Amino acid sequence: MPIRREQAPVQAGPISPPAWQELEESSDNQVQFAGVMQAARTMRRNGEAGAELLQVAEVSGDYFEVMGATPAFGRALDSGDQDADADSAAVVSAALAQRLFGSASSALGQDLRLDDQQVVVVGVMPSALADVMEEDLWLPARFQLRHQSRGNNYIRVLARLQPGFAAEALEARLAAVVTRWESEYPESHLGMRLSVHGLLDWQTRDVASMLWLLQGAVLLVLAVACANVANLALARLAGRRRELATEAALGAGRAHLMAGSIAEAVLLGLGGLVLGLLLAHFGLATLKLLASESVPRLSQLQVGPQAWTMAVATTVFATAISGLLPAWATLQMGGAEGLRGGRQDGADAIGGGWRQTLVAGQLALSALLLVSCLLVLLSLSRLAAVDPGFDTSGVLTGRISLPAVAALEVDGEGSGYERMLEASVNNARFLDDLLREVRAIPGVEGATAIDSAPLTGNNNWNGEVSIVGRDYAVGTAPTVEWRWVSPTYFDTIGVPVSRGRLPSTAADARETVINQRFADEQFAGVDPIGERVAWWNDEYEIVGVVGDVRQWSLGRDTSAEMYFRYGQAPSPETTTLILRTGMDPLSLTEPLRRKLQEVAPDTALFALRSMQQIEARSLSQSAFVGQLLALFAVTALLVSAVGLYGLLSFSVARRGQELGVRLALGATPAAVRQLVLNEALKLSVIGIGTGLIGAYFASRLLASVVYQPGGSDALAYLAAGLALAMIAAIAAWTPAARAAGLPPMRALRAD
Amino acid sequence: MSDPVIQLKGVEKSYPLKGGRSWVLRQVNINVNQGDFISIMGPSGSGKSSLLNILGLLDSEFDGEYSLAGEKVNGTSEKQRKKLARDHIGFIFQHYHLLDDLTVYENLDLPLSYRDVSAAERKARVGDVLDRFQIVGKKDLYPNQLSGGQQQLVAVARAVITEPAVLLADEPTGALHSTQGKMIMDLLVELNGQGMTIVQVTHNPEYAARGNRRVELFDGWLQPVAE
Repeated sequence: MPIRREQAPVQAGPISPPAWQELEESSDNQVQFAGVMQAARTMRRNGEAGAELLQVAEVSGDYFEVMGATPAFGRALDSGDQDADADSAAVVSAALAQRLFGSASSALGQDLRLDDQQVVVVGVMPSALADVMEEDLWLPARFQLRHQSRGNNYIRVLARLQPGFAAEALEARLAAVVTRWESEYPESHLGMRLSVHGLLDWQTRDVASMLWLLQGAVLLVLAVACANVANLALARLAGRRRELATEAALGAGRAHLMAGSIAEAVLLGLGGLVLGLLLAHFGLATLKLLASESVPRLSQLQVGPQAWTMAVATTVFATAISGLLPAWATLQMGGAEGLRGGRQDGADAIGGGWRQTLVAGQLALSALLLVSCLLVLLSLSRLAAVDPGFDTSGVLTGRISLPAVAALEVDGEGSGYERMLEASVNNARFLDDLLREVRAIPGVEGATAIDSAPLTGNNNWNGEVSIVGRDYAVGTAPTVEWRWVSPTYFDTIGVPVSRGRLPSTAADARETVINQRFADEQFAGVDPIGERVAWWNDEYEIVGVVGDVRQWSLGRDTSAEMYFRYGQAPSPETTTLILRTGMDPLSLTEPLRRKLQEVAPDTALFALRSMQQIEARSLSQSAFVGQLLALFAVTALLVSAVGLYGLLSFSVARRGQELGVRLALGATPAAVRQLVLNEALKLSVIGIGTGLIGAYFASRLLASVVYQPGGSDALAYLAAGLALAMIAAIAAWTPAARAAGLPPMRALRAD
Repeated sequence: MSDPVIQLKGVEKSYPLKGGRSWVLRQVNINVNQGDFISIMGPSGSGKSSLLNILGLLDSEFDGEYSLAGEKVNGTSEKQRKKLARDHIGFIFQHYHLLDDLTVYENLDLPLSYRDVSAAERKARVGDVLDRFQIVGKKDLYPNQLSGGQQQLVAVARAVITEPAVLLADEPTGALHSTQGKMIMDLLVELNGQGMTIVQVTHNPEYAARGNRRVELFDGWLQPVAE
């Protein structure tokens, strides 16, 4: 179970090493804790050129036990590996072992170099765990060697509860610990809470509401289909009323009369089950493709025993629902009325009203789905129209590892801060040289770097800062996101400098620019230029204000931000190259790779994407939901249209004599056509109206996937209503026209 | 003497069959004058209903000449034929064919709603007919709340509410027991006495005799019946 620090404005954050140490020591026979620090490390293989960036987890000794994960080959890491003087052991993922060494088993005992650390592979994880343990490599954590401040939170905590010990009990236990911390260390822990989550819930937290929403949509389509099948069965039954009445007159019992309806429903259900499983089998690849950017643990998705069980259960349910009504109607039939074929026979008395209700219900559910789909699509168009704050065209981005790293460790000479600052200065020099080379690539109009590209949400470096000269009560200092950029960043990406200037190029300068949001929040009516912000061990002078940029995604509003220049503040170990070009940005991929290979062969280049791709990824969840809802809505719409057509066709056939009488009494064909259309109109108004009202109330379920719901959403209701009315009119027209063309003589022939 | 309301000359109807035609009506010639009450008799399949459909302008696929109220039916458009039927024909069916979902009042109003009659006049005419047929007390009942005879009474009232020149009755007593049948026949005679031209198809010789003329159809050929 993941345990996360909730401390406004931080949500679901990690904890500090001292806090972790206390939790680790409190492990007992009820709960076992594990600590993880995730990092990107540059990997080089001995004797081979090139570098690769790996996602690495530094884990405490109990990590594998807490995860319940056993390596497929070799051994797991344990507390012995955490000793400072132990050999550096590593466990690798099955995919990494396969990629580097050809097979999982041959990885054991192999050496790898991570930055400047030599490690030996002692275990390989099974590939089946790849979705749960997503890292490439696991190293023993040596938290004791790192920065020990309680304000420095970077350890993520996991817990395994022993049977009988509930999550609520753990939460209560953690609450007691946090209460003590709050009183002992208020500057670090005031207003803090440790939340406990289920691992699956945690991994799917961003998509859970979306998946529930889609599940709901699937159930609606299922309901529409069931209603349609029940409707068709009732219509068929009405056609067989004389036959059933004859059978009843000849002594057939209830069971015999119902057997036909039930057998029909079961056969239809079985057919549906087989077709559904085939569709699921062949459609899975498409679904995975559509959802690739939006849904975690996708590789585990398969049409296996779980899906079969679900499909069988759904089939049984759907068969019962769609078969029950006709079977019941059968029982109501079978009297002499049926033999006479009068209009008020059982099938008609039971079926007539039900059939209309079912069709109206189908239309209502279709309206609900269509509105939902249109709301998501409208949201998507609003999102696509959001100004990200910079020019996204002709931009290639690629992340690289920086050469000067491992400055976090506090052993060795100098403080951690000084070593990190020194690394940042070295990295700034490295970046200046590298960017100069990259700008020489033909077609490159500009090249710059930022720790994390806009719209990716990769950087969650943030924390409290204080504006020099202001006093803050505990927990009230402004929380700001921190960014590190090369001097040309704003010009290259097209972010305007609205006031002041950019930080100077002097390495010893301590200057920052802030974004407009920060300026508005903290310096309303005051000129921020010249103000100073205390950050870590230094004070930084605000020399400029730049435009707001959507850093996380198109749908997430900007936060207050501070931009540091590389070399003027300790910086992260990776950065993102930003290339501006007038060509297709992806055409620069290979030239960039070659250039890095040539001038910085030890630098790992990864995650190469055009800004358009990043933008599309930012829209992917809404697009995925929109696409699926559109599919469901169109399906429901077609099924409903068929249902309405079937009902009206049956109605015209059933009312043939009545319509003939009307024609014989002087009704014009137009009047008869109108009569049938009125029946459709009545059902449509009831069905669509109910659906639209339902959609209004259901729309709040869409809150997680709809961006800025608002006035234009009325369009969705209007468009859905009109579209459904049009579909209903088309479905009704043929039966209505057939009725209008009915020769009265033929209609009266039954007389 | 004025022109006949209905005039048929050499009317024939047939269906194509493999290797020939199946004849339903052969060389039917008949004149129906204003105030006539004609009974058409004949065995099943002799063409009685087919003839009535042609007379009622429900069937336009026939050969020969047909004039209704002085207007030629042949060669006219369907729209004109429907107008002719609306203006001049009233229908009574064997199984009444009242609309189940409509009350007696609404059933009576139905033919008027298909004609260019103002709402006020419709109301007046329905009220008048309800009164004339002594069914005011039943105006809010539905057909399934009435006996067969009462339903046919309403059906006759519905047929005459548009004041047609000719009332066509297709076995109007066929589904009724004798008392009810006699009541309906009395009503038709009464209407005829008031000047309504009636053509009825019947199997019942006694009811056929209530008319002033009888014709018999046999294998599609029309033969006068000796009085």
